Amino acid sequence: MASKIFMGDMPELMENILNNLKNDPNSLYLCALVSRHWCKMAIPILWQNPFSYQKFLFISEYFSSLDEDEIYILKEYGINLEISRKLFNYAKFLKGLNLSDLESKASKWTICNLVEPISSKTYFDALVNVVMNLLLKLLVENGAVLHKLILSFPNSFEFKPEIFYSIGRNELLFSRLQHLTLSVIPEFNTKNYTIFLKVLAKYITTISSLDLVFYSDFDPGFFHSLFHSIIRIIKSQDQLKRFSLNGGYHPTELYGIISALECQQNSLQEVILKRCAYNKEFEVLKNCKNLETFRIFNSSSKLLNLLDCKISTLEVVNCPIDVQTIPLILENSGLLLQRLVLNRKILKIFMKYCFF
Amino acid sequence: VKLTSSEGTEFIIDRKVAEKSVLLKNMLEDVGESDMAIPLPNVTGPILNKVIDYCTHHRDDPFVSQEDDSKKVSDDIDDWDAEFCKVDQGTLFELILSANYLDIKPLLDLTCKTVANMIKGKTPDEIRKTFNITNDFTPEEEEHVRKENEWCEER
Repeated sequence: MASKIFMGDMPELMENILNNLKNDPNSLYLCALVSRHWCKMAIPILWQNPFSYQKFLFISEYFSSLDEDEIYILKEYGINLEISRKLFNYAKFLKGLNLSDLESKASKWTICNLVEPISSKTYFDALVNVVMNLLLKLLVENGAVLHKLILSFPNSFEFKPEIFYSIGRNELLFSRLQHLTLSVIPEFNTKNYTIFLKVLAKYITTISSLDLVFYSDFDPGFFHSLFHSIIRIIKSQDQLKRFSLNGGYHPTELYGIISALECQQNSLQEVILKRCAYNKEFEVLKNCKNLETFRIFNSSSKLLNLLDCKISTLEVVNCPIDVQTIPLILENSGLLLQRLVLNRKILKIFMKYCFF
Repeated sequence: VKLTSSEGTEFIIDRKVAEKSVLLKNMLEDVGESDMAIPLPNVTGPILNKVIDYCTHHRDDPFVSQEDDSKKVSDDIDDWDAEFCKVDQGTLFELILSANYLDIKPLLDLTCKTVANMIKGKTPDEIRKTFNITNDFTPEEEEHVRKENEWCEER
């Protein structure tokens, strides 16, 4: 007799087993063909984040939910589309979305489904933009509930206003969002991105992990409203536990983004800083009494001054560090330090210090 | 700490080992010091023995957060754990049920990963044979599921 785990009595255990296959779409697909119960369990996992796979033909399955006007738009652009009724509302299973993955898959899907090839790049980009907006609208309106969102904006992409309207009407979309990554690149359409972040800031309160990536130093005037939205996002979360900043080129100004972490001083448990120069805004981290993990990469060792005695994991990689800083690490990290990760160069100095 | 399996066999283990189980940890915190054995009616002696082996080997491992399962993949099992899981299918499923009941997340994850590895690379028919599953699809349903998800075969 089959184990009750596979008979439907304990779906949470079967889900735990199949979750191990979430990066292996082919295995999940074969599981879905085993029986009705296996199908019911495997399909939602298979469709959690299909944009992350090295595949794109699944987009045709999503597009079966388009309405007649939207199908007409795609056909007008020269897209060959076959529509049929589906067994599942696949959009509902989406949990993770990376906008740049969506762009690359939309682009490949478009090329594959064109009746005739397009020679004009502008025209092709406009078409990919239409495909992406239709996909996003469809995902929002068909009940996707995102847990993870990575916003790295492709240059040519622009949200259509109806996306903002759809998000407003489908508040479930961001109601369980836990992980947010924002990449801020000066080349993209800042105005459009800022509107999206404003909408995002209005609806999200559940993020536990925030990753910010800055690719350049900024003109504060130009990016004022964008940073304002990021600050609003930081302040409006109920419990931000993990914060990561990749400064790109060691930015000299942080525009109040780090200071905004003051609102999260009781919840922050992990801070990761990459390519960051010291800035007085970081002093706010001294007030984070529940900080357990602090990791710095390619950054100023002055940031080690922010250490709190409760820290249990410290990672220092590729930071210019001198002998005087070592006792500081030991003193400030205190007896609770369980994990200390140093790169080889620092480790040598560290061993020398300990020996003498 | 004294534990009693479903057949009444008694096991005496260190508190630190017992505390790998969130269920037992909470019980011990609630009850405090006591000579009374904790009955585990859902776990047989041989399975409890295996669970104790696991918890003893991993007694000093740091606590793993319940929240982050983003790194969950099925191929990062160390040698001791792989050897531990070389048991018959019935025992493996009993270990999953016990790890779930006793709330030992690392053991639950390990045993679930092991089953996932047994699934990997098998055809639907081989999966059915391995786990004794009946195919209750109608041919039309099966074809429909296949057609809507055949993009997975895309290379």
